Amino acid sequence: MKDYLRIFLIFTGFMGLVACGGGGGGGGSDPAPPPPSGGKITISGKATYDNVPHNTTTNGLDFAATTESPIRGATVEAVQGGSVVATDVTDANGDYSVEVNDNTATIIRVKAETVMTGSPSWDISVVDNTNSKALYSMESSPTASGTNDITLDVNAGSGWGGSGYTGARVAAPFHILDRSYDVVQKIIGVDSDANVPELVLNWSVNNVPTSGDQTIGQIGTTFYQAGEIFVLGAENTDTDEFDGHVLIHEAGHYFEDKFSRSDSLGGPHSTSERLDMRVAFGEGFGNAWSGMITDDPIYRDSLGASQASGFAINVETNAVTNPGWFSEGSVQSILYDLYDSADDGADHVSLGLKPLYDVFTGPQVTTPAFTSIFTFISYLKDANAGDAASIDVIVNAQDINSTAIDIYATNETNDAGAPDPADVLPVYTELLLAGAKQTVCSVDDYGTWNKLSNIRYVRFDIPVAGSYTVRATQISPISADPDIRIFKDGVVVGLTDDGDDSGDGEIENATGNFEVGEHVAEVYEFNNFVGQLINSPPPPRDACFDVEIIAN
Amino acid sequence: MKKLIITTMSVALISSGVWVGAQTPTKSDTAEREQRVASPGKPGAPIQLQYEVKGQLQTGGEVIVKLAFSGVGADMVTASVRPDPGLVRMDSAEDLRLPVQQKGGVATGQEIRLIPEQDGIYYVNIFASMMINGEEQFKSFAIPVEVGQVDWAEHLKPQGDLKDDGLGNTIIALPATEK
Repeated sequence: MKDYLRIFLIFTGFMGLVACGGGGGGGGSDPAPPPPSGGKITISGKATYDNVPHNTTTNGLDFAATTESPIRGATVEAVQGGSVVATDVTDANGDYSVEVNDNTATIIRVKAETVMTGSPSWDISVVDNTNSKALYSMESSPTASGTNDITLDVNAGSGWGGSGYTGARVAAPFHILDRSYDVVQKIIGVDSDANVPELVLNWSVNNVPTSGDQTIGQIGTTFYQAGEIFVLGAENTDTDEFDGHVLIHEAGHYFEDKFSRSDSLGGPHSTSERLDMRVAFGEGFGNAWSGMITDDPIYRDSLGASQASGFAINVETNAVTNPGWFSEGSVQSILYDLYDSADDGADHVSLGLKPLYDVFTGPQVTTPAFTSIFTFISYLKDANAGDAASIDVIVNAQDINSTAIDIYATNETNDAGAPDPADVLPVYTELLLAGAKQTVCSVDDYGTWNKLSNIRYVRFDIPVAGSYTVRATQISPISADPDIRIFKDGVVVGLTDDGDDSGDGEIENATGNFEVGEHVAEVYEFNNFVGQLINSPPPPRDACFDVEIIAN
Repeated sequence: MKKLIITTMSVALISSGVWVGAQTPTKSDTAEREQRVASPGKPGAPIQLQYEVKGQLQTGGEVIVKLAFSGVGADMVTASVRPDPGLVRMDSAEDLRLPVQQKGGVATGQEIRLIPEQDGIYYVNIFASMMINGEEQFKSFAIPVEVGQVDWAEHLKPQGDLKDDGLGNTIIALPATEK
């Protein structure tokens, strides 16, 4: 702060001298510059930031190994007299050049934003969610432009003082920006006309791992939501500004949201858990995506005192705990192996990003099924028939039936070792109009909310547009509380009508006017979904329902 | 069974569960749907923290934080507890080793005792780890402790200057190192 006061005083004093026609120097050793002559000079230089890598043993940050990396694609402004008089965009080397008035105090400002209009286009910025979403920038001190061209290199320092942060953490927003720039460049590499929608990254030293009011920094964790990523910055607890893979993982959720489609519930997850297949696919993709963008399969997340601890996930690892279609670990292994050029284990195919990108932005968007490893691999094989056998080898190795795969997993046999396989398989239960009721069970064997079989899936085909009802009738326990959501191509088209709540012997109806075509639905025990979301939650439980579809 | 209705769902309760006084959960399908898309997060250990803050939330008063973990995949969690400076821990500063509440089990809590040296917002920072299938997994938490009057403006003051950029946009200007 004191530095800024000093700069302000220097700047205002300097401008005062200019306004007064360059009066006497007041006895100082630096004479005041002459007034502007109407001429122009060029200020050029390189913009960089301190890039702090990870210690590959501890997975914590290794400040001693800090290097300077170029700030690429960022807005540069030349400021004279409080006005922006020239702008530029840094190139791939961080170089910039601006033409400004001579003999005028000039500030070089680099903004933590990268914006490109036209085709391709993008708009990415790093802001402070605890200060009205103000855009981060760094500024030089006022520099007398003189009459000759100037070279001025500017660097965003980490603020690290050897054992803790002792200065402003200027580098943080620029490292966050640069990882997003990596994502944009990778996308453009396979889609030269890509329109990358606005992405706002919210970072602050006040961002702590407790959930609450985001405007005071209580963001819970680093996460993506609706075109924005929130990033932890809590020194000695959890900072993510230099955890590139964490940032790109969340950018993967942005990619799914804006370029593809995700039916994931989100929520707590880890690579060893048996998850709802939509969560497993989304999170496994996020991990694999961080490896694809960086061409580095080691995901590292630093935490703890001095940011010196951490953990790693190697998305190349094929030995996965609890492998299968419900495993984030299996999904990341499959997707990264399909992408990368290094053969390992069952991996003998190297598709690169383009074929994967085409599926994500094509049929995965419009699939009538829920987004999962089943939809993705089915469409990938369809579009790359020549590689289908090699794809099968990779997917089969994760205990997923790829050889006979379809988007509804009709032939899947991996039941997660469930005591009763019917609690897991079939992945989708098919309902037929005027057909028999089908029994489905929602269980809490693997946790609650977003875990395997908390939510069961049904599917049905509507031959004639009209009003239909999907009905769930409790079987056991007598107090079971079913809920239903119906989807057409990823869009909710029907919901449980809570007005039918009737206590014991409950029947739940989800009624809607449905279009012709394939539909899917979630059927679940309310207690198994809501358990971690409210105070004093009802206890989770195994519950079974009879489910049917009725034409009204 | 009478249908539960949830009107108090909050993102605040996701990664850091909170023990609060008894209340009647109520349900709104709309809130439920919104909740579903508002809860992503980076990979971490599959554990949740429940906590309760009680005691004298005033300078020099004793503040008691009760915490417990629930989750899957491991029986025990190791938790390093580091209060913010100015919030002095009065019990042992050693890491905690607590059982993880399993399905159908009862949470086993641990109390830590703290003395705030002055008014303000403090966080009790928890750095938790657990072994799952021979692999150590981590998750961080922070428990907010508000003592007396909190000067949020001072707490949130940016490291740089908050100002207009000359183009009508608000920026935080941080100092560049010049070369």
